[in-house]
Amino acid sequence: MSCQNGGVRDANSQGATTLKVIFPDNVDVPMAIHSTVSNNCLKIVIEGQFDLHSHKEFLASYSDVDFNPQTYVVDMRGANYLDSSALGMLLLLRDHAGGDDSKVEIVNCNPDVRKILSIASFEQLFQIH
Amino acid sequence: MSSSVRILVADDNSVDRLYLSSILRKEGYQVLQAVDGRDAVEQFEEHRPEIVLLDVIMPVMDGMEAARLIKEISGEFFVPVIFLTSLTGKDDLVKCLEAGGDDFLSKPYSPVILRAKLNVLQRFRQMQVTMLEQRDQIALHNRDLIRDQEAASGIFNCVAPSGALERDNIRHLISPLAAFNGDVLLAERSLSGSLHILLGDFIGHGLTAAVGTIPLAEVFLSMTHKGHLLRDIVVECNSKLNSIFPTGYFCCVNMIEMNMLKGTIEIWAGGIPDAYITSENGEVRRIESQHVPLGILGPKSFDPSTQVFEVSVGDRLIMFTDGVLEARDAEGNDFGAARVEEILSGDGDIGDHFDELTRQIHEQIGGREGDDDITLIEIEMVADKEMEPVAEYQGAGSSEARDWRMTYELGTSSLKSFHPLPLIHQIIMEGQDLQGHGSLLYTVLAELYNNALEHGVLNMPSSKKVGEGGFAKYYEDYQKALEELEEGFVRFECESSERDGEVEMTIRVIDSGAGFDYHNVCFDKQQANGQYHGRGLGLVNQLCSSMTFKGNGNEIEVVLRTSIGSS
Repeated sequence: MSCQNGGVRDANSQGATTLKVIFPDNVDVPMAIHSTVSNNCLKIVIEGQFDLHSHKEFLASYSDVDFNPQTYVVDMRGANYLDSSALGMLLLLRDHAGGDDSKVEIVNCNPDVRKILSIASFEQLFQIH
Repeated sequence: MSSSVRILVADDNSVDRLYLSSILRKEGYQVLQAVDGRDAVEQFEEHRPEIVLLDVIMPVMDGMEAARLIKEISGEFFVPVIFLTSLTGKDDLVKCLEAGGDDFLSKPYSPVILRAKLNVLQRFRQMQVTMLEQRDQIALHNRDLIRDQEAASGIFNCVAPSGALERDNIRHLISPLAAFNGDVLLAERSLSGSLHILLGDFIGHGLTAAVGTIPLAEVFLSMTHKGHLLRDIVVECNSKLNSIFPTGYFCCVNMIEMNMLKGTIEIWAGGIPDAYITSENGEVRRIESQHVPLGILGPKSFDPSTQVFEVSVGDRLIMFTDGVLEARDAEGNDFGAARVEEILSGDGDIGDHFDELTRQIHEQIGGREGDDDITLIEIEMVADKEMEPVAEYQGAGSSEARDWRMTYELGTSSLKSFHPLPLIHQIIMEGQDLQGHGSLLYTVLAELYNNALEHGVLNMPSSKKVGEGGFAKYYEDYQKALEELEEGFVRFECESSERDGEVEMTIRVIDSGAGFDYHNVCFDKQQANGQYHGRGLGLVNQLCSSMTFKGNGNEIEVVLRTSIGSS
């Protein structure tokens, strides 16, 4: 885990300086998720590692949109890795999109990503291409 | 008090000492004075000032020696020491720093430089204080965390005693990280005589992952104790997790039933890496996960169908969580499935594969802790007689219902979807003095019911069991026949009576089948020692006080007698 600097400095009256160290409340890992809208479809593009650290960004990618898409597409073209928490996040998206009535496609998976999705039999829950 | 930082000034030259002291007082510091090195050390011990200024050359004890002692006394706390010196040679200045000094100040003093240097050192000192505070805080949190984990581990061990894995035919590896990061490994003998094994991996790590293990273990173990079918246990585990987990949480599992009598392994695999069955002839069978992990689907869309494999004594089932595949070496390479398969299909005794696998995994991760939880298990298929007796489920039983009768009939759709044995077993066990004979009773009920359903209602010839494909094929045919069944029933008639200090339990099982000509059938007690095939009723005959065929052969009556208070 790489800790980012959470330091805050302030000077006291004596001329001497105290340094207050606070714990970082989130640790940012380079990861890019962005979403685009077209024809009632929300497309979410994943880059890099798709894991626990992507949680906030992934959630924001579909909950911060102000319309109700009919279909969702998760584009894995840039995802080189996903773990079980990513599977959990996909389930959250599925729930958000209407659960059993949802239309969520997962596209452009590399072989590793595809393998993880198929071990979990996610083709029963999503349309995977 | 806190606003006033104390500084110790040690200089044998009183003019210099007083001058420096007055500058420092004007800056707001509280000043202590010492006249030589020893005096400085003594005053430091007594007053513990935050900053120390030392002249290098002093009588009794020089500044360098005093600095060394002061640093020793202050231990892990950072006390800045500044040397006061008129020396200007590079070597002398370096010596000052080597003796433990943090900076030096050249005479004559410049108040501006002095102030600036003190500010810098103050900042360092503050930072160090904060770091120590936070270190202690972390240590405290860590202690609490470990205590919590120990308590949780104690609870889990009551639900699922780890001793259940200590069997001659089981070898396993659970990494320390795994125990409370959501890996779960359980083994328990079913009332039916089979061995049930659960290997699970909850999503994520830490508390959220660990929290699901207890309800899962409880459902799995209690249903296994009561003799439920694997598929019914899987259904119940899934609905339990589905009802308590928020969306996005789930558990990847392999649930196994190893039937020593039939020589079969039945598996329900959801979201977990491939498992393997290895045989002494070098054959390696791979078992792929077919299902969505537990806890995701609601009861309506959940699919409990299992895969059945035929195995021989000496075959081994090897399974593991994804931590094994993802175990990384120093270069970040995964262990991978190909390597597992290479080991399992390697030359030599298959009994050595497990050791080789664990050795290579340890080598892979080196001394480092794995990124994930590593859990690995190998179960060897053994002959039924190698197994220890089935642990008895202790019923509530202090009641004394000894004279009663019941008729319980399963119609067509019940036959297709319901496994009645745990229920009937429980009714008979409650209030009977059969404690200690629970597994015997279960065996009798199971053989009578299976005989009635398979050979009576479904009219399957028992010779089919030895035919091509053996049990796996038989199981498939059985499933198909059951699905296509249009009409049928199995009726249990149980009657309990008390006489002469004995409880007599009569169980009649009647089926809708055509029956058979039983008049020439003779059940030799020896027969039960032979092959399993067709030996079911022979076994019942051996276990009961009497066994008789009635009607067209579609009705069997057995009598069990136990002395009251015999247990």
